[in-house]
Amino acid sequence: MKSIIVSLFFLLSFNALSQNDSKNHYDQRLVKFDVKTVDNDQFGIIKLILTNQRVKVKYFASKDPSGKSVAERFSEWSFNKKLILVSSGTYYFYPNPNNKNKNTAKPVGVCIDNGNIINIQTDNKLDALAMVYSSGKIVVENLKNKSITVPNTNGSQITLNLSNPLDYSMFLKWAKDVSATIFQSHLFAFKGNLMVNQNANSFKDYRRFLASGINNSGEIVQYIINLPFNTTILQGSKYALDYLKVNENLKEISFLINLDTGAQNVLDVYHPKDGKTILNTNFMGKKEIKDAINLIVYYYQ
Amino acid sequence: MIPNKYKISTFLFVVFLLINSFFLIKVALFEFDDDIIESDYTSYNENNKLGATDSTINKNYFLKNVGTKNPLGLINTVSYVLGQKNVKDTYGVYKLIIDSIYAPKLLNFDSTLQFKPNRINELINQGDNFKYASTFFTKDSFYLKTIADMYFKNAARQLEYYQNKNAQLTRNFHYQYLRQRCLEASVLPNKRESSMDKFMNTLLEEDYFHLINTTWNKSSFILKCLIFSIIILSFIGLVSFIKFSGAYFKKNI
Repeated sequence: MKSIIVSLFFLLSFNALSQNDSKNHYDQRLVKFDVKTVDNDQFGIIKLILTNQRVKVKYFASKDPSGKSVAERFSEWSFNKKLILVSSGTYYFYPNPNNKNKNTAKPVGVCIDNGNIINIQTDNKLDALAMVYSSGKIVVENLKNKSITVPNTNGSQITLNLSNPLDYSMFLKWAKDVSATIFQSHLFAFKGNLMVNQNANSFKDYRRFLASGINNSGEIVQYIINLPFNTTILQGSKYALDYLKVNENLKEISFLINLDTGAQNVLDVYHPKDGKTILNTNFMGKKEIKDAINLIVYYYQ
Repeated sequence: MIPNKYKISTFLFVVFLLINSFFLIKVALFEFDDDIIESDYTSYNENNKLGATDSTINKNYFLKNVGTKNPLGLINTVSYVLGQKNVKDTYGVYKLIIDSIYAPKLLNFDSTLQFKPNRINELINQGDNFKYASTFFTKDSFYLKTIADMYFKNAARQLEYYQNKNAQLTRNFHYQYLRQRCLEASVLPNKRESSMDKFMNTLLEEDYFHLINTTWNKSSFILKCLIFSIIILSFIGLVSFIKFSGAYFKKNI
């Protein structure tokens, strides 16, 4: 009798838990929101805890081989997904100067979309090589280091010197084999060090960063830091790093890379309870998803 | 006798027309450089198909007898070298040949030379040559594709370099043609965009918030004053034109 009551209790608790889980759009314990004020300006921070691999990343780098646009691909893919946020990714350009149709735009620097090679030419000005695995993990390497380590399909680690042609081909082959998504962006901080030159471009604009680090509990945490006011790259990066060091007290800051806020300034953040878009300027972009050339998506699974 | 107020109106109208026709004149005077690129697809020498027979991979011997434009010769050389060795390390032999022969030739280029479309076209041709060979010789496909990419990347890097030096090259037919060929090989030369290019892109994308925000943030005080004056002059000119034509029609009808 006692065992039946205990079993019933467990069953009911499990049912209650699962009901609670399905009622919420995603687990609020894994996604935190914060707003920070600096010099009378506010910026929004979305903190994503990746430890138990429930929060995942997906990157749409370019239109697919059949010509389907990024927005269409995202729309199809996101049909039954619990979205946390969607943001524009890296920079783009028009390969044909006489055709400014957004469908022809290509991402700047090396780009591989889900194993499909879009561009193998690296851009020397962009030091961050972001690798999004099909398992939903994102890793960033510093291209100035030349050598990068990637996990092989058999589980072993391979170190590749990207300035060597054969190693570079091996890297492309690896990306194809594991259906990885690769893109380049500006690297503003790496392993806790600010990488922005003091003489960097003084042009002011809205800024958005993707940061990653390890907190004192040893958890991998990633941040989308959205600065919806005009600031320079140097000042914006300092604001972001200060926040990670002082407010978050991270044990290690792995990287801080740039997300495009120019002509594809897209940021949609979804409410943890009802899944609706949060209408707060600190968590919003200026453009719609259909205007994006590439997208980075965080989702809950 | 024309009244003074009409004289002022006419003057302002002329100013308005001059400002607005500036861009049209600029476009009308633009010259396109549309010379034809010579078709000089050079295939490798038929006599060199057998490749080098030197197992130590002597650079000079290889360059003289096989050359860097000869995929079949390269495959034969590797086969011969492997035949001489007990350990059949295909990767090692290819790595040796690529690092010692192809890399010094293709990882850099002479930046002191002028932009010569035919020279870059030849690199792309050789890239295609090796890429084509990689589809036939599947066992050596990985290495042949690597060399093909080296040719394409060198061509793309040269296009990047020359466009960076001269942004006007973007509108040159040769440049556009070569760029398109690189694009087909999934090797995109990174393009430096001038402020005017960015301005035009944003304008065509109808991203007015970004356009105004960036223009205002990037422009100096003098430029801000100039933009303001142009807007005011255009506005006054337009108002004067409406007033002038209104008065004219009233008088004559």
